[in-house]
Amino acid sequence: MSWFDPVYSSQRLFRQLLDCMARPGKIAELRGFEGGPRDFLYVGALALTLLDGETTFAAPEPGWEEFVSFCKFYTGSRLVAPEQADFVFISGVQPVPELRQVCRGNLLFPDQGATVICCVNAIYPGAFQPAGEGIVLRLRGPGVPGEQELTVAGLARENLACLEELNSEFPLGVDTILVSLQGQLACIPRSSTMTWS
Amino acid sequence: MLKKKIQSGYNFAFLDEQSKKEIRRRTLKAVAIPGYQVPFASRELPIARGWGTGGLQLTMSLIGPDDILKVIDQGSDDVVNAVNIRKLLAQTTGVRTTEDTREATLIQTRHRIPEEPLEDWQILVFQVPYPEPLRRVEPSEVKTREMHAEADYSRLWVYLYEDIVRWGEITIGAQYPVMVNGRYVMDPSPVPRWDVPRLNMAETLYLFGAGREKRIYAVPPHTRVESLQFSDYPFQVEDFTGKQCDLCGSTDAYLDEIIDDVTGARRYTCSDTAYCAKRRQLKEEAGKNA
Amino acid sequence: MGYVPIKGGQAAIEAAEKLVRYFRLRGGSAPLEIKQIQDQMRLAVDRVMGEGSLYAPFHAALALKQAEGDTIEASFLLRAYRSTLPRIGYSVVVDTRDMTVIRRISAAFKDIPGGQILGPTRDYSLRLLDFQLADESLTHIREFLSKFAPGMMRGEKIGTEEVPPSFPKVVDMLRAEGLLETLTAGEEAEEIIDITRQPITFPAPRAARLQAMARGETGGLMALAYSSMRGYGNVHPTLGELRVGYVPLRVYHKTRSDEVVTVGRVLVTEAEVIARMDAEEDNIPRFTLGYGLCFGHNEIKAISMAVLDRAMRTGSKEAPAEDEEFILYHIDGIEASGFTAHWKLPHYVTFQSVLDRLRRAQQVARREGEGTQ
Repeated sequence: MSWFDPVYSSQRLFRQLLDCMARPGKIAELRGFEGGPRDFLYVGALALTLLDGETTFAAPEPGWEEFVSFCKFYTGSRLVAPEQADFVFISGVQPVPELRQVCRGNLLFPDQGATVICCVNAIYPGAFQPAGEGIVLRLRGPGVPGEQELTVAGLARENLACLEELNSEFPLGVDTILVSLQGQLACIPRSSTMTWS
Repeated sequence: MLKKKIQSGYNFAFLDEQSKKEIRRRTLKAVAIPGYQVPFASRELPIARGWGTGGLQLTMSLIGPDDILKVIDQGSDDVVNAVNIRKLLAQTTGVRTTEDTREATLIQTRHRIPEEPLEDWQILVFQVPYPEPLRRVEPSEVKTREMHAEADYSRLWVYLYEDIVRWGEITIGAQYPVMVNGRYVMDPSPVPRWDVPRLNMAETLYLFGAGREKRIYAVPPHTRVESLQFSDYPFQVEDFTGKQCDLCGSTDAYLDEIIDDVTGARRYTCSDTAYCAKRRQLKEEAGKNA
Repeated sequence: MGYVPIKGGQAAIEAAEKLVRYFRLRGGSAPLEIKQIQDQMRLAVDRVMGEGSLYAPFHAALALKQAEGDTIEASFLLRAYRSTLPRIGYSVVVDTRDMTVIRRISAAFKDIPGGQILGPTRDYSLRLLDFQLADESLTHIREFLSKFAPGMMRGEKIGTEEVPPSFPKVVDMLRAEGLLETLTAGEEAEEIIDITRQPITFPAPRAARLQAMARGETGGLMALAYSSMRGYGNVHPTLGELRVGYVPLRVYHKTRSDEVVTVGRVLVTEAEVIARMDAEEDNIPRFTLGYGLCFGHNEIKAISMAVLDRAMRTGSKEAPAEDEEFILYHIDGIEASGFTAHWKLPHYVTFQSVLDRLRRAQQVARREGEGTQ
């Protein structure tokens, strides 16, 4: 993994991620941070940046086996059931029923709510619907002056509805990182209120 | 080339990567839940607990080779605590340091927000001695955590009310409690009230680190931050009416009060020394050009 | 301009560092050797290893030299050094039944299987200043050693002269008779968290409490434990057993994970205090136990830990020593000393802010005073 430096690449990637978490809907470009195996280049880079032996993760869908062994080997993170995981990796294209069980933390320790890392096909700034396949997301709340629009392709409405449901009782909730196949990244922290069309 | 400058034998930015990772994970949660105090393990540093180790750990987990760093204490780049922290960070990262607020990508501060406006590409890291705003009214962490969970801030309101009854004013000086995003009451660190309004709907990400108490919290940009106040006893910043900086003439900056060693008279100078120096330089240049 | 803003902080710091060195050396005496500190300031080294949370006698001795004997400062140096070291792994849980004992006493019984072993203790010595020590010379030392430990003078390994066998533990005997509480299932199943890697939250697991105390400042622990012994609390301890000795340090083999390798030995002090009776689920009263274990030879610390461990387990918060939050937040010497010292930092910005409030409150008071006259 010489292309992903554990000190410098993860620092740069974290700063991009932090910037996007602080500014929901802002899109960062992860090209140059190819850290994971084929098909998981950018989500792998995120795993290398955030996970270690003190964390747990879940990837409940089929097709993630290669990613799971990558994570275990390179980060030391422990694979657990989705309801116990600090990090839950899903692909957004199909509805993921396990998403409902993800930990939202508790009122004493809401920070124990999970981080959902959701792979989508593409993320575009603004309301932009190429071939009509994308969902236009509108975010409001801390970090957003007024309203932030972005378009996400390859994200099932069921998953969005589920995230909205999980985040309906702030400060309980999950924080979502969207990452596209081409390496765009955007965040939806639980503090955001979200509408879509 | 850069790596040569870094003190050998230590990791980049001193902390080991696993420690940085933990702090980074907690920081993201802090940003996602504005004003909520996230517990973290807090490492021991070669600087004493209570001397900025929380801010320092945040900075160490944020900083990269391209950052331009500014460190201030009491608004000044040259106060001993700032000097020490800058030295440790510079030695272990090799990054460029600056006194110019408008140039720094990363600013670590104790007790002040710089006078010059900060922008969206900058991060301000606060050193925090007491992360818990409810500590004034409740010593137990278990109980204050419950109060936050229930958003039960009644005892703090009573404290403020009693303050008014006893003294005719809210007597909290620095470290004035604020409500973040309408949910969590937060301690803005011991900045003067002068700086508190600048937390509201800012362009910049504000991160707070308490090393000894092992807490991280955050105010994202464009987030509502309101000082606790009563409609008939509104929040007031420090009053410098009729006073100005002895050095640069500023009437719109937080001032330090100084007792002149010769005459014993009171004088005032800007607490933000870099801002003050910049104003003086501009004046001088304007004088030359005139 | 009459006033010069604070400049030259860096130069002042460097000059202060030079002065520290000068004050240490200006007496002109021969430099202290680290070996001398390790050997002859044995208990200070042990204390620094415990509070510094790193078993490293050489480094602890060096820290003591650097800190001019200030154990809190030396512990801080050791802790800061510790946090730069990679975490290679965790040891296998130590069984103190395997301890090579140098001292072992019980206050609960007149005699115990294996016997009371006083070992190196000054408990029963008269505390008279020994002026002969002022003139101690290498000749005196050699004379003493050749008589007291002739084997050592012949080059035999230190500490193996007459190694007593390992002993049964006093509490095991009480437990076998059903007189002592058994570990609760919850406590036994507990995953041991590393408090330097995971934040403590309350209620804290017992393992976390013991870890925090093992790093605690001896004087702080003692003061709080003493408050409990005096009457702020209801523990009434009897010292079941106090042991000082070497325990083997074992780790799992790096690649053959079922294989355990002994990598060294560590001197520890262990205290078990038997405390007032309590009834478990079966309603049968049994004695309860408080436990303390710390690095090095530090009996006051181990006993204080054991008393506080028991006090915290009462679950009530009637006395300060019973309140785990109160204890755990205030026993760390590095945190407490750091914060106590931080008041020396400039606070003029916040002081200006409270000055503004005071002046305002005075104005209000004067105005009201005038109004009522």
